[in-house]
Amino acid sequence: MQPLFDFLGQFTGGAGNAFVITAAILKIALFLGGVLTAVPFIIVFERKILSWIQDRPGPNRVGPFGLLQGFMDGLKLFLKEEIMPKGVDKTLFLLAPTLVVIPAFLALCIVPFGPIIQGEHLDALGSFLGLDPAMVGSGGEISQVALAVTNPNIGILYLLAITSVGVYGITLAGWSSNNKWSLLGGIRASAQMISYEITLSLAVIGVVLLAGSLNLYDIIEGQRGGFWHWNVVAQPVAILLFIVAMFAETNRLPFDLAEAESELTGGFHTEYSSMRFALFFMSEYVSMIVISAACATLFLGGFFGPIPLPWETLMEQFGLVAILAFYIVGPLVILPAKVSFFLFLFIFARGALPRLRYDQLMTLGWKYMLPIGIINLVVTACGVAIDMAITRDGEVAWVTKVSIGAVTLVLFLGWELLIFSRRRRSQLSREYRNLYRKESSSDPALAS
Amino acid sequence: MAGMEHFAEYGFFGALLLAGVLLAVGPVVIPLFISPRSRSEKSRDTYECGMDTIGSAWVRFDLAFYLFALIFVAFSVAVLYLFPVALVYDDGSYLWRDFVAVALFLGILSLALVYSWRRGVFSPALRTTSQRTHRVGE
Repeated sequence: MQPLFDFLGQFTGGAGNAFVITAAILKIALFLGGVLTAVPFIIVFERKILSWIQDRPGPNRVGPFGLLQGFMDGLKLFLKEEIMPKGVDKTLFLLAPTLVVIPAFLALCIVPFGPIIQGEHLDALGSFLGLDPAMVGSGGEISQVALAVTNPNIGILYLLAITSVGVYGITLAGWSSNNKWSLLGGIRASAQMISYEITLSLAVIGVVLLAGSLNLYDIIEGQRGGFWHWNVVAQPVAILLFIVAMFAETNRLPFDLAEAESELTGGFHTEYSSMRFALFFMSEYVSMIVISAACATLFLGGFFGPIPLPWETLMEQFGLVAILAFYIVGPLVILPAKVSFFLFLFIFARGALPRLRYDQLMTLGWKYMLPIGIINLVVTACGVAIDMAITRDGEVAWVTKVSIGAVTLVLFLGWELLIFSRRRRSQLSREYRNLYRKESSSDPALAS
Repeated sequence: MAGMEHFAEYGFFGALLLAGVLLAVGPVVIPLFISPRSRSEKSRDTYECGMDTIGSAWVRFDLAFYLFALIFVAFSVAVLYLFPVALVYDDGSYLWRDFVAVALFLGILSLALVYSWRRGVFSPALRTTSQRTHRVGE
């Protein structure tokens, strides 16, 4: 393959640049293509699982087991009429779907889907592909190739920043439609997403504290060596907070107040039709994949498997085959498996849980999750400080991680038990009851 | 060269931004050519489940949403400050000072939470139909 890059290098100022650019385009194309192909299938699986929960067959006409239903729905939406209703703010109405989709894709590029290839492995793979060792190799111009579209140092901060841009799109879509349902959906969505974003950040800071870095590769590296090293062991409460917050961030049931079919028809996308609607729909699924991958990376060891295999000995015995397998298993088997687990959780929760009321949502976000997040962070900081005071080696020992996990979990469960044992009807539902009692006594139609 | 590599990391964002724009604009433009058009005035009505629309939707809405946005700004900036703290936390030399600083910071942050809790920001005023002061569209 070296002649190809030499040829391309004439236009890009060196064969090395040509390799970097080709690799980037390949990574973007494969990853984006993979995710976009997965979306129609996820929609079919969602409808299948929901239909099993509701004891009905679900989609079963298009393709084997109805598998192609998602593609056909997409095709159908291309052929639907684009309606621009009267009285909308045209610029914002057209801009809004774009503002939702682009951040969803931009957030994708940060997720590491495989290890960094370097050292001997890069030499072996380079010679396999027929590349000049002076260009690609441990001693060459390009000494490492990361299996992620980009690998900036700010990593997780970028992810948090870019996912919150999506709020603008949804709010603007709701406002610009000039429809009461849309307006309600839009402002509800913005209030909900900003409320849960703080909890999301607090859950992430615990992990950053343990890893000492914002770089996603560093965070994954800290979880190397089996499931008992994963951050879920050290941060069991943080992962719970993260999961609840990620449901709210993606506007999925039980937090889908922004759409809420039964009360707001379609919420912020009521006035959108054809592919403009499909863009909202697609970006919802893309952000579900992104945030699942982020959760897997932060808490479940990313592309590392639950049981560490003896790769060193395998590579000595089988050489290139084992090296190739090592770099293929992560992106193609382990990370997709973890993402699928979270996607299943999303779908299962949609089938199992009713939608929350708006004030319940705010109560949960601000009065429960935020204090829990703060306490979790204080306990984690204390644990890390104790560990540092004893060992002074700049790394958090495994025992400390387990102890932090145990303490936070015990505190959390104890607090929950305390609440449940003293559970009375909440102040709020009492107020509601009194209000409606007053109303029904003054209204003759309701009183009868 | 190292500087260039760093720059290239961010160049990929540009490439992906381009891909994102194409993926966002393409699906909006393509149906303009292949989808049917009806010229009926009625189909351009605001969709309110068959009722004729009364007034605009651009009316005043509950102040509670604005309060949430304000608290969010306060908390979000505060939480952002915690990221650099978490990065330099295990420096080794001033361990307990670091922990006390984080605890104090979070304590003051919690005071803001307690204050808004006591002021009833998180339990927005409940209104039923008879108590509503203005109707949508007026």
